[in-house]
Amino acid sequence: MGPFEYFEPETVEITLSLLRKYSDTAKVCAGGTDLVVRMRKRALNPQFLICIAGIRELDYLGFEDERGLRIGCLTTIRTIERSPELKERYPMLSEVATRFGSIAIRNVATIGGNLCNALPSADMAPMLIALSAKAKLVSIDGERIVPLQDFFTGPGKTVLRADELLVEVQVPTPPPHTSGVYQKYTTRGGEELAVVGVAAVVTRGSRNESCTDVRIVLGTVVPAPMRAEKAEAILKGKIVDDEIVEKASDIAADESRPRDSIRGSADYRREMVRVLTRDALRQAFERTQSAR
Amino acid sequence: MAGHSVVGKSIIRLDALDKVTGKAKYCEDLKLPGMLYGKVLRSPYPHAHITSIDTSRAENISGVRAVITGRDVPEKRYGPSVFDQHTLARRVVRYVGDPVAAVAADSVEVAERALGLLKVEYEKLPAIFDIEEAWEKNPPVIVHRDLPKYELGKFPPLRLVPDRPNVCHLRMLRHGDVERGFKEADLIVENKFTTTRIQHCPFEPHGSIAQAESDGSLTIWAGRQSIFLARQYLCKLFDLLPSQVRVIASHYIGGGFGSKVTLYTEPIGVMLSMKTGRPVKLTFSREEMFSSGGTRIPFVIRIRDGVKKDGTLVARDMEMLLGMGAYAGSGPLITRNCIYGAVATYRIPNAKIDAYAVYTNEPPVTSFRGFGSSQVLWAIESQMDVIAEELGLDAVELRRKNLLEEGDTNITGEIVHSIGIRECLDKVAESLEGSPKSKMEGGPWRRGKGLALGNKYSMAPTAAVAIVKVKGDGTIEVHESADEIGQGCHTVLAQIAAEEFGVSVDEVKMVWGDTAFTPYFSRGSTSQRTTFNVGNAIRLACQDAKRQIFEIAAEKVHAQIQDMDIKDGAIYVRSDPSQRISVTELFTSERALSPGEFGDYVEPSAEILGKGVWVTRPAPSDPETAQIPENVARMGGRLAGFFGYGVQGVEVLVNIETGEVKVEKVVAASDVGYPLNPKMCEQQIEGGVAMGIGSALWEEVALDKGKVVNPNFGNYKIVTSINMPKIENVKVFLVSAPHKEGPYGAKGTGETQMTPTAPAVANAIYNAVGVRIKDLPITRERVFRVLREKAGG
Repeated sequence: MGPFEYFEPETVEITLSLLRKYSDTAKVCAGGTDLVVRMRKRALNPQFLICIAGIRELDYLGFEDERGLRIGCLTTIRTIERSPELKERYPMLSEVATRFGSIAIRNVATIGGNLCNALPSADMAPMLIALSAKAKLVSIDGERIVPLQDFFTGPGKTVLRADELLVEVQVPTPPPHTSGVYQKYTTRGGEELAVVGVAAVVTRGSRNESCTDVRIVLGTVVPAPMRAEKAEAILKGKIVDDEIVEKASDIAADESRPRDSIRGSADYRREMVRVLTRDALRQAFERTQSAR
Repeated sequence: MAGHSVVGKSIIRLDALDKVTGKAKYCEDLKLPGMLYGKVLRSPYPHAHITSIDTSRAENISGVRAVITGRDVPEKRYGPSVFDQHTLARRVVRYVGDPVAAVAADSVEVAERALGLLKVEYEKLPAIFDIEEAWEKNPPVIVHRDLPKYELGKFPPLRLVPDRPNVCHLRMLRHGDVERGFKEADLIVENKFTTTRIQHCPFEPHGSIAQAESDGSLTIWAGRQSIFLARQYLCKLFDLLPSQVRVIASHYIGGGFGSKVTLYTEPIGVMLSMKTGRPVKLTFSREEMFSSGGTRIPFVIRIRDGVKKDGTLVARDMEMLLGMGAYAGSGPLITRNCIYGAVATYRIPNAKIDAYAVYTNEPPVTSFRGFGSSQVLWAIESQMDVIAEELGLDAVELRRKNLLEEGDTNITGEIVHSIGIRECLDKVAESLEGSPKSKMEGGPWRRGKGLALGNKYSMAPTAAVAIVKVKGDGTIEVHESADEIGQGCHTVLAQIAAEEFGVSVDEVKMVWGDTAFTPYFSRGSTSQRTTFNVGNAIRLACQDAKRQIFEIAAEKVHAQIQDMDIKDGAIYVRSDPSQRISVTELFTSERALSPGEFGDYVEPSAEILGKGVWVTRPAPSDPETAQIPENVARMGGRLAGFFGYGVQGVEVLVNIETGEVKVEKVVAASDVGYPLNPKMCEQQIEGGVAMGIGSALWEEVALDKGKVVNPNFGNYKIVTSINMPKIENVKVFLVSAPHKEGPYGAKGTGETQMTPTAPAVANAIYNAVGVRIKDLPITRERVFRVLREKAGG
């Protein structure tokens, strides 16, 4: 690890002024589970490290009927996994959290860190995008709200400016009869980065079996988490059966852009997109039968 | 076994409390006054000339105390068998990770910063990575042009192959007439199997502290296997006498699995200490463990078997290429010994084996739990299932038909002794039979089961010395030099001493290894030799100490020495136990002793010091054929110390859509001779199974043009607890085929346990989905591809 100057600001305001001052020579550290590893490998060498872990006001889960769920950026993945209220209202999000790293990592890793590091394999992003979540970004000049779908621009890249802090994730309340499933494929099983990640969120009509809305979001097999919009299009408004699910999965596989890597060849990963999309859609539809 | 009070019992390990409370000390915990930290700069190229090294900028950093390069190290090469390696590369680097320069500094951070300022220029040379290509008669690259001029060690005696310039050893076995055997065969089955590089992944990476003393001697604190082997190597490299090199075991060692036999950190640490006069600690990072810390040796195996219709094996021909990487290390010894994996299980009238040790420009390999047997058995035990399938026979029956029995002659001419494999096979086969019959599981999952046989010898020659000191307070102090690498050797050895004296293990104190004080143990805790060899030496030392005690006591109670016995700290006359004297009463002092104080010495012999030496010698065998002469075999001449045996059966689920394999159940039986501590034997088996499953399904040090691309646990996948079958689905049986020379009949058991796992998993996968994977590891993607090929996709 290279040398750096270290700050532990106590408020968001101080953090923002430090960010304005040091801009892209600084890095914000929340849980540090990605950042510190990259610093030790010297893949990142910030001159200034701004550790915000002490700003407890950024650690919260809030539920409002109209505005939906608000998650403070310092909320740990473990908190998301274990919140009874979240499990009740957003079971698909708690489920993603259970697939994230190990318990030891989940105790430290934060939602804000996971999104801002913007690794293609980040587990939280696909489901949040599928749920139409938004990110609240603040700087000294003010705040802006960005749909997470537009937040990621490439591996490790986001629209976040060097003087901005992601402070909150906002997740609208899903419509009635909506379910979501996250499928994660790894090479071993256990505490691993995803080789393929697929989130599917499905809304069923109140009186019939047709699919009124669907979101399929791919992770890892694309440079940045991406909706498989062509696959979504053929499902929307249709009565869902095995045949159409298979077809949508084929299209999602075609939409994915995996690369050869040590974790798997592109061909194999594309095949796995097909299998995982199919399973995610099937399970999500099944769950809409019991969803409120 | 009847009549034993301490051995044969699952007593709690002596190190349990230290380890669960975090009090156990490892090399990394040691700090000496004035200690510096060393770091090594390594080659980024697989083969290159070093044209220049500029150390000036690194030397000028505050806190840097020494920078050394190939110019500073002995001109002499070192190595366990072929002397092919310089402490730091002098002119040529031969793998990505070859040490080029080293720094000693006040902190690890400063040392690392200095490494970044070293400027090395290279001229790239063509490199060779493929084992088969390197083995060829006119290879495009020769890794060691001067190999014919190198000094060669004496163990094992090496056979170079002049027209194969990358080969440094050829091991041959010839038994019967293999061509005649194939003529008699009804079916000939030929296959090619490969294994890959895997790393030991011990909790504690390689590390040592070196101190060059002012009188020219060396003191080394090392977290390693075999302090005496380190002494031997360092004496040779630095031209020192054994009494000038002191190697101290850094108490506990955080796992070995074979990785810590070779010198990795010590020679560079010594050079840095010589230059600074201060102790230097050198510890590998995890990345260095993968790139330069040694891996299991990858094999390419061609196996050709001739069988009769009824399944009788009549001929076996194996050709094995062992990819040693850039420096030979233990490679030639593994090449010599790996054939024993093919010797120990089956009766084969005609056999031929050629094993070649081959250099490439990949990172050097080293010893690994199994020492070649796992790789050989991967081929043999997969092949046995292929044969059974082709003959339409049951795979278990095929094996039963060909099993060696006590008193049989194996393919080296050795007469088999202490073989419990049939009982192991019976237990595992029976236990697997109870499994569900249906292969369909839900959806894409298919169920299958398979088993495989394993064996592992314990290497000879081995010599172990033990000294047992009886103290004035009655404590039995045991001095020996086994390495406590996590296997629990101190517990088992203490049980043996306690048994001999009729006391509990609480009365026994084990002394940590130190070549200046604890006695010789030739190659340390490797080759599952500790219990057998050190155990026997301790028994002899205890008997010697007891003889001395009985001599003194007999005089005091006016009895005959041969009538005396000892238990719970009292010496008594067997025929009249009321005639007794306590051990503490044999000791006296020049000062007046208050109640509760103990004597300090005995008169006139000063101390009660029992000594024992145990030597296991191999029978001489013909270097051209590996055959033991018949008359020598008849007299009990042996290939190795003993053979441990194990059979494992597994049940797997295979996902036909993704290739995922889940090991659902494991049944493991092992012949341990006699379980001195049954619980610890079971733990060895469970650990071996876990490591075996990892090696079967995921583990691979992946190389791209010689560079390790997954040097971390993010991308190198070891087995985790989540991947193991539930504990109630792991069934372990201990089988006892007592060895006539083993302490209480016991044999070592650490290495045997991993040898059958991988082929058992492969056989179960075949049983589930009908595809035969011949290359390790059996990754999900590999299974997926083979399934797709089979489906014609």
